[in-house]
Amino acid sequence: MDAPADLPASSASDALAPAITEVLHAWEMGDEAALGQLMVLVCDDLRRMARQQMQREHAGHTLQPTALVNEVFLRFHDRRRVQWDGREHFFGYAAQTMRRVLIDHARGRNASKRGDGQRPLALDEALHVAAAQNVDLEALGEALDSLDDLDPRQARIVELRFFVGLTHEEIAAALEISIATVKREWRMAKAWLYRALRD
Amino acid sequence: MKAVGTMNKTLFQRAKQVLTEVFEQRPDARSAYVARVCHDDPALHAEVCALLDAERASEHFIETPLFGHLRASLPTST
Repeated sequence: MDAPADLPASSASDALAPAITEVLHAWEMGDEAALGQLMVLVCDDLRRMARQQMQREHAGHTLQPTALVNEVFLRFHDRRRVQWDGREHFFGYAAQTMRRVLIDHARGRNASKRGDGQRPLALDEALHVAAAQNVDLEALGEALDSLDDLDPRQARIVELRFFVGLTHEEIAAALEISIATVKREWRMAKAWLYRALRD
Repeated sequence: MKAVGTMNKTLFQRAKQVLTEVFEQRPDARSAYVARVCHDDPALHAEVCALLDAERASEHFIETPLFGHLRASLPTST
C-alpha cells in the first residue's frame, strides 16, 4: 500500500489532498487498484474516527466523517446527501460498504482469474488474508446476509472487526455499546457463521 | 443459504438468550446448565448445543482482519 506521502499524519484525508483526488479519479475510471488504496485509507479513517469517539465519549461531540469517507460514500452510493442518524448508523453503513466492496471483488476474481505478473492490489491482498484463514468470502457474505436478518448488530460487529479491522474497544465506541457486549456478540456471531459455512 | 423465517428468528433469539447465560457459567457446568434450561424444548437444546460446538471450534475463525495488515498508518493518539 502506497499511502500518499504528503498527507499529515494526524488526519490522512481531511484536506482531500491532491493525491487522494487522483486516486478517486482513477477509481471512477474503473481502476481496481485505486479502489483498494481507497479502502485501506477509508479503514484508517474509520478507525481514527472510532478512537476519537472513545476519547470524546462524554463530551457530547458529534460525529465528523472525514472528507475522504464522505466522498467515497457519496460516489459509491451515488447519493448527494447522507444524513447520519448517529454514530451507530454511520459506522453500520460504513461496515456494510466495506464488506460489499470486498465481496464484489472476490466474486469478480472468481469469475475471471487474472494471470500472474500484474501488480498486486490491496483488495487482492485482503483476499489472500481470507484464503489463508480458509474463509470463502462469497459464502461468508451469504451467511452474513442471513445473520443480518436475524441480528443486524452482530452482522455489523463482524464487518467492523473482520472487514474494517477495528478492535473490540473501537467497535464499542462506534456502535455505542459496552465492550463486554461487543465481545459476547462477536463470540456468538463467529459460532453462528462458522456453523453456517460448514453446513 | 436457507431463508430466515419467523420460527428461525424465535429460535435464534431464544438460543442467544441461553448462550448469554451459558457463557457466564464455568465450562464444566455448561452442559448441565443447558440440559436444565432446555429440558422441555428439544429444538432449543439442539440449537444451543450446535452453537456451543461451533463456538469451541471457531476460536481462530475470521480472527485476522482483512484490511488490518494493510493499514497505511496507525493513528497516533490525539
